[in-house]
Amino acid sequence: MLINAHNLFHRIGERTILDLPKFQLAQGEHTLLLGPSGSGKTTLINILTGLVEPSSGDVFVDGRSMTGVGPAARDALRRDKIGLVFQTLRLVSALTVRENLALAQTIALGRSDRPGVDALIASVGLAHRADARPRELSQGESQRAAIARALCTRPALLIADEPTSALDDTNAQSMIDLLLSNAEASGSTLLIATHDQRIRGRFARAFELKPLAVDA
Amino acid sequence: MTLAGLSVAYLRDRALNTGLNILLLTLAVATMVILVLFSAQLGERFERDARGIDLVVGAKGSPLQLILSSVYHVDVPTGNIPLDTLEVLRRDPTVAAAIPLALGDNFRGFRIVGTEPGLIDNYRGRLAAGRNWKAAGEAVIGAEVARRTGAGLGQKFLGSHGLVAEGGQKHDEHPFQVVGVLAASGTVLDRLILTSVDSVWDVHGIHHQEHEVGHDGTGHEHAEDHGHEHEADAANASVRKQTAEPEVTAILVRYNSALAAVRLPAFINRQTALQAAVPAVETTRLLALLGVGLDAVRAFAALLLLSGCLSIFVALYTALRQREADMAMLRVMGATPAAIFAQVISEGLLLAAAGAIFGLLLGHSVVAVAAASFEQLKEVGLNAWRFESAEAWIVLVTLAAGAIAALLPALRVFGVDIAKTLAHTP
Repeated sequence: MLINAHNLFHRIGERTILDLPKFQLAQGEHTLLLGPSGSGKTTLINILTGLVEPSSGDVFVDGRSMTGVGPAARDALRRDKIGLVFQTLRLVSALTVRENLALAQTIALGRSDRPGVDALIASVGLAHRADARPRELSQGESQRAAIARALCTRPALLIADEPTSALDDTNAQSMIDLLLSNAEASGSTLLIATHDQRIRGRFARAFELKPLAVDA
Repeated sequence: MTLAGLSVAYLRDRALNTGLNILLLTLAVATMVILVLFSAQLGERFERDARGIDLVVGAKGSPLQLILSSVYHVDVPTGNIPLDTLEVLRRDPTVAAAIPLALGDNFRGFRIVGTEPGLIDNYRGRLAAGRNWKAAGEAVIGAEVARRTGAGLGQKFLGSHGLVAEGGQKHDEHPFQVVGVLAASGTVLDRLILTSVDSVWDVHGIHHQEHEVGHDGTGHEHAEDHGHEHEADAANASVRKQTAEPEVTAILVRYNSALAAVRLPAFINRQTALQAAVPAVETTRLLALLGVGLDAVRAFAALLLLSGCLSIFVALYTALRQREADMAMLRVMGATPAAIFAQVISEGLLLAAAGAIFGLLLGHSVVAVAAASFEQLKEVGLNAWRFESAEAWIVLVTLAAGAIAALLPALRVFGVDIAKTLAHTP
């Protein structure tokens, strides 16, 4: 199992944000994570990627524990196994697209591979924008750059939070094409959190989070 | 692309801000470098040039002026003293050496000093080429004189009246000829043109033949050489009659015993025309006077450095507020908080390093330009491209200041909550 999570429970103050007995994801099974706003999609992603420590429960990523190990170990596990694409947070502002990818590789792998970076940039259709700064890119372009950035370390798991919600129909579809084909190429398993109905049909597997009942 | 590369990218991204930060630090470092160069080289010069000279005897006036003019060769002399004084001093058993100086002329700003070879020995100078002066009109030039004027052995030159290069009537009838060039000694010798006292007298038309009897056997090697000189110049005899008795400008004295320090200055100062000045006392007084000025400049430099630090602090603080998303992004990429902390500190260090490098360059360049443009500084013999160990301290202090200025902003890194930043980033 790439992800193996049990008895996840998270609350902030008196409010329960997430209550999930079991979540599993097998290698190669690209999965959509569905659910209405407030159902805890983002919280689940934050917990799976170690950005947030759950109130209780455990998470294993590729056999290594993400919970109860301290922030440094969570950082290391995320660096080794997970690529992340967010809706808003995409690239480091001062660097060009190419430099962003090179930096991501250096941080995760200790070295960067220029031909690999260029090939990846070309595969997301940004070869002509490789030397552009993030602020010079359009929404769609920077989202594609973010995908390339997440994939350039060849992570076992690629998690994307609402990668298409800011895009129009055509761009949303091509974004999914891009995610699927590049994940295939780099051997990554996709987990995509979305409430975007337009991409539902593209994935064989979906996991639906139910909105929590209002606390009694 | 590394995190250090990222620092450079951030600095380039806010180029104007970076430039201003570096400029402030550059000015601070340059001010300190100039200060260090001046005080170190001045202090060292003072010490080295006064070596072996316990007392200077000269005309009444300011003792500081006497020391400056006859030991450091930077001010005008207080006047002249009778040559007899030299004899009096040499007869004194507590005096180890007495070296006469006759000043008054220059060649392109380098002073022509009528003296005895004892002056060279005093500074442990040695000839790099040629020989010591013997005949009238022969001169030995210091290493720097040779370098700056391009004069070599056999070169003839005319002295000009006065002690600075500008103006001054040329002494056409009495050209000097270079017979020796001194090796660089790092002392005032480097900037002097040495000749015999008699040659200086000749140039000024001072009749000294009758006087030779008085100080024969005191080490002057000129007695025979002067016979024909004077016959050739006989036509000018009337002019000479009007001129003064043989005099020297000052006499440098080295003691034989500690007793001299107690007795000799008081004895000299009792003579109506004479005064005795102790170089050690006068330079201490001068450095104390300069010290107040140096302290003011030092405080100014510290203020500049402080403002440079503050500007780095403000720049990084505001930059990091805008970079919370970036920091979260770096964390998402897998960079540890410690690595990002180090990255921010390195921005401060890079600014400080650039300021230090440019400051060193600017400081030395300013000194070089100043030394080349101002006669007074040329006379002090300032070397703009010599590096002092204190400059290493300046660099270290500047780097530390850069790191400290970056410290507080960098600590924000540890407070970054990626999940929260993600939720709040538009």
